Amino acid sequence: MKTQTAIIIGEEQKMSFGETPNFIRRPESKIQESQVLSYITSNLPEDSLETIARRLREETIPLNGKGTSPRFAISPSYFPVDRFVSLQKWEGVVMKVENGYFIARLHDLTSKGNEEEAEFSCEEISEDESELIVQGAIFYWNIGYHDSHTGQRTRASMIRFRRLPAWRQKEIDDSALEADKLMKSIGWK
Amino acid sequence: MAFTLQPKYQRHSIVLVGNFNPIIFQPAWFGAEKLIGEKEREEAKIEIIHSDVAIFSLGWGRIEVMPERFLVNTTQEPYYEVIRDLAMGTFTLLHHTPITRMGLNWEIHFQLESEELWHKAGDKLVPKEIWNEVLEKPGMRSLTVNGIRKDGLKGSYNIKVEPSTSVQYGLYININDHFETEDPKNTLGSDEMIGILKEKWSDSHDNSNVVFELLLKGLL
Amino acid sequence: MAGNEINIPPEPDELEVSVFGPGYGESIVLHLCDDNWVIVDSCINPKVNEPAPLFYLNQLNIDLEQCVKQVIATHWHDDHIRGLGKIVKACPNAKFICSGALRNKYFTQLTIIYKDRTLLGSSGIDEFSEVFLALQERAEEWKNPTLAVADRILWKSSDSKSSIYALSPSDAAIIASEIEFEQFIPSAKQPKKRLLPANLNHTAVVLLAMVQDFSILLGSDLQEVGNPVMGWSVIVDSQLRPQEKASFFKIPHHGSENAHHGRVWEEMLMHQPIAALTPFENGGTCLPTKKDIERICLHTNIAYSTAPVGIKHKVKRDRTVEKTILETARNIRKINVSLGQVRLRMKIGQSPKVDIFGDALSLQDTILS
Repeated sequence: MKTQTAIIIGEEQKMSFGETPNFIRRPESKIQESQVLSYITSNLPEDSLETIARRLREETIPLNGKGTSPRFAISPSYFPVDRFVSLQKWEGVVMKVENGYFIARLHDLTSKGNEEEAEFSCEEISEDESELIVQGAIFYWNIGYHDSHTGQRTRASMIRFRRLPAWRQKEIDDSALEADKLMKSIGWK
Repeated sequence: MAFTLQPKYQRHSIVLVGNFNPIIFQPAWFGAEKLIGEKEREEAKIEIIHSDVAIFSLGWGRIEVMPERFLVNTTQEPYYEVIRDLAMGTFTLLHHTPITRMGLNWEIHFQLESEELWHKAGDKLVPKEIWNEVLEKPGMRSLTVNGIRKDGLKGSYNIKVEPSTSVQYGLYININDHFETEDPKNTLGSDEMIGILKEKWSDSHDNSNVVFELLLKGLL
Repeated sequence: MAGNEINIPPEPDELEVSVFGPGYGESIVLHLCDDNWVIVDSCINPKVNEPAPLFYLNQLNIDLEQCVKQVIATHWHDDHIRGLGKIVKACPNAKFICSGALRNKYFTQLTIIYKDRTLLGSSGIDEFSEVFLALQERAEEWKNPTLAVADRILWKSSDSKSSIYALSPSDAAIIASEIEFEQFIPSAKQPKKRLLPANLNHTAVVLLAMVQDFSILLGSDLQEVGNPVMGWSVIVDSQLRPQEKASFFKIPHHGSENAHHGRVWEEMLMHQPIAALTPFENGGTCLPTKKDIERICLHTNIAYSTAPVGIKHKVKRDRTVEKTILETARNIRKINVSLGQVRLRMKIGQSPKVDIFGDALSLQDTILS
């Protein structure tokens, strides 16, 4: 998929709500050359760092009396798009963890209504997420085809644990107050 | 509900409009708050971290933050829920961040079987009779149709259809499910909008699949 | 006597006990004569995705607003209350009854904390949140839940011929549960996850329904843990409970060994009672076991299960998906395959008739299957 990426400093540009913003709008702030270089080099693999740095210095422009900045535009580039063709998806909850396996209750998100159980080896889970395998943890399990940006297709199974926001003290305190109100409203207090 | 007509490409973005401080949105912060894994944090590709803009990519998604806008997107369907959770988690932690608007954007590029079908679709969307009177070889470049929300919340439902620039004889459909807080001027934090995200995301996702299917079946 | 078709209602002088179980879940519907209907617990009919009791009563054309006198939640576990909120809403003139152990601030707080299904899915306690919401919307006289505690009469018909007693929870169970519920309250910075029902079965409500001289003992999920102040021991030893022996027994806790108490069969049940149980499959636990079935069949040879036990059903899927499932997970099986119903009907003074519908079968046959 083509994406036009441009950093235009010193020019206001309108953008429609919902589109991907691709530019920096505030000309007053000076952006460090190293940061700009790292942005450019990630998108233009052909040019060497030296060439880019020289171009930046040559293309410095005044910013309406508020300093100077290199002006540059980056030509349209392709960003690699891997895609996943989903054939089946579940939401799962861990019911039990023992002996390197976990048993999960699965809710079918593709054909809603099916409820299943299955056992998974903890080794199916990436190291990054192994600490998330606890009773009550929720995960998504996707099965389908993974198409790489080079066109390679492979069958894939992906399990990803949900990272939910932690409880806040305020939430817990508020729930106690709401519980109090509830108990009064149904005559339990 | 599964989307039965397989798109060539798809993307989901969550765009939040409010008041942000881009420089804090670094992979290190997300990692420290356990919103992403340790390895993801290490392998994050930073494009720029600055007080005015922060952009970095994780293997499956991209985050872009500017003072008035936060965006997270992914082109991989299994990660749609992940970016939702990331947005929810981030702004549950940063609940003092005022967020007044949200766009749940669902995009597909769908490849039609032939040039003939492609033109047929364009003609169905924008009948050419009237345009033939005033233009030479009129062609549809973009069509946006807005609808009101059916759920009583502030906002709108907007659908854009264009010829795809990524797929030959393709249709690009962008659904923008747009939400606003009840009183944007007095919105002091993120709780209201994150509450809407929690409640409405699943319906928005399901609806988008219905809309894609209805549109494509209607056009083919 | 009404026919044995599923959608013919009982006659006014005909009592009925119907036990529903879809493989995970349990619900009971009672007709205590004269259009006095009681719903005990709730589970979902997987075919129609509706609470099983509601679907059944609607099939019989029962006026829910007039005829359902009580809705009883014997405890708060997910397999006993799925869809209960809908039932409470559909029966606005039915007294809502729950375990006295639930009237504590921590349980109520948990229903608030875990009510968010979109975030944390369904754990049972969120269903109670729906129940409380439905109660709050009711007319004043129907808002307050009645608390079921040991040896308390919950309902009596106007002619006093029919009644329902709660036989549990005991005082000790109520006190113990308050401390236990407090432990489930999360602390700040703890990651959010689904609350899974821990074993608080001593809060469960055992019911004794009596229609003249026919008694029905509904054992809920009460277990026997050898504690003299909790569980079945307290009930058996109680001098305050009605001493009538029951002819129908809903076997507690899906027939598990730890819910079995020999004295219940000897002292609280008639010889060879009609018995029914609902199977349970969750987190690798499958009840009743073969041993459980053999044990139960020693006590009565008129026993039924609402669904077969231990049969592995699988969802049929695309070959690519099936292949990948095999490579990733083991033992994938469908839960809640379909609903079975064990129905007893009887006119007072006559013999009871038991019919089974759906996937229900005799308990003896589950050993063979």
